[in-house]
Amino acid sequence: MEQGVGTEFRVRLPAFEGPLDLLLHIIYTQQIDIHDIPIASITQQYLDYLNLMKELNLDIASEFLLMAATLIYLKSKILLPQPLPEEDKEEYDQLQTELTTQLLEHQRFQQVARLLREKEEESSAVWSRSELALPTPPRREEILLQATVFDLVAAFHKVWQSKREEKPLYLVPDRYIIEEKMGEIMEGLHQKGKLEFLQLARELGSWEELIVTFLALLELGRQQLILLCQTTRFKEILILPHIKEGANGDGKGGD
Amino acid sequence: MEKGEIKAIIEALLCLSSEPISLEQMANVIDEVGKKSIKEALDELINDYNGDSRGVRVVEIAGGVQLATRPQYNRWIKKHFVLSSKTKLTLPALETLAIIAYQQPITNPEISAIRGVDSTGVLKTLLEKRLIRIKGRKKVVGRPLIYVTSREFLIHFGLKNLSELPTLEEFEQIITAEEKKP
Repeated sequence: MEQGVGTEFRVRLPAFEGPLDLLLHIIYTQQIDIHDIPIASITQQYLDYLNLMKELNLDIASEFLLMAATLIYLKSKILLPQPLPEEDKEEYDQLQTELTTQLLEHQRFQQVARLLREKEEESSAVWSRSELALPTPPRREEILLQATVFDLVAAFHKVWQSKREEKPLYLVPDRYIIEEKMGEIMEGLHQKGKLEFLQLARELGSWEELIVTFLALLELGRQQLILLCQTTRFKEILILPHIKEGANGDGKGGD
Repeated sequence: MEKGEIKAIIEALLCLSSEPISLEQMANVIDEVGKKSIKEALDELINDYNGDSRGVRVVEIAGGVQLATRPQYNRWIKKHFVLSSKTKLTLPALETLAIIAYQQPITNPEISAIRGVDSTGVLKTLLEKRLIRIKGRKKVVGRPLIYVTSREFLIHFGLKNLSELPTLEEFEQIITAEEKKP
């Protein structure tokens, strides 16, 4: 008979990231062949674990329950009088293969994660000058000053003014989303290497879009995904990808 | 120019650099000689340094080379310099990075499907640590963001480039070999 899990040392229950994690744990501890999972017994153990987690007042995420439902469904198929009708058999096989593939994939990436941990461990005792020195500014054709938020506001104001003069006010039903704008800016940067703020702003259709673009720039700056630079104070603001981005092997070595 | 001199120039550059220097960058600086001679000189320099009696060595990292201390002298370095300990990533973070490293470019829903749990929080942490970056949006319903690993990722794990990681097939073999063990 199979023993219920962890009846004595309940406190030592490892934290499971998700249902796949838990299933793999059961597979390891029971030394089950991952290619041929005994659905009936594994379902029981999975549910035992969920009960244990409930007793320990751990939050059980919905993903765990979804997996439980899948397992119980699979188990119910086996309990039906055999042989199963053709289509039931097919569905059962498909679900089981899916589960196996998912588990294998998960297992593989866990292995990779372990390798990364080793690499991290190795390089944590290795030091280079970069860990002491402040980052050196990027070498580009122009000497760049880091633009401040106030420069950006001033530039924004300038465009705002010119828009106010040249266009009558009309209501536009367009809706712009900051995150989408952020994506557009990043894509533009990826293609062109750099963008000029004024030019970018002039191409925009409405005030609303202008405001959203402005907010998107602030957000990108805050997340350190872009650099805002000027060649001299009060000059044109350039939008550049952040320094660390450059030589990432996508053939865009701009320097 | 003699090879010895080229080696010395490279050594001087590496000594002062706070970033890995690529072969291209060296070729731009030492423009009197061809890339091939520079590569030869660099290889020799790496060999010289990798003799075991030195405290530093030349490491290949993130598409370039850099002077770095040997791990066994960590203790004394920490005694002299005020260095913040390097970040240790959690297992979920490592797992997510592993998936991105092998399957990039990849979106949050795709990552979450492989991991079997929602990965929004982990992705945010990785973005903040600049180990991954957003490469745009996938042109499917919902336009999810596309993630790729960054240069910072290579540096954090001391990798030369992504191909230094074993292929997934090689991992498969490792796993099968382990399973066969009694």
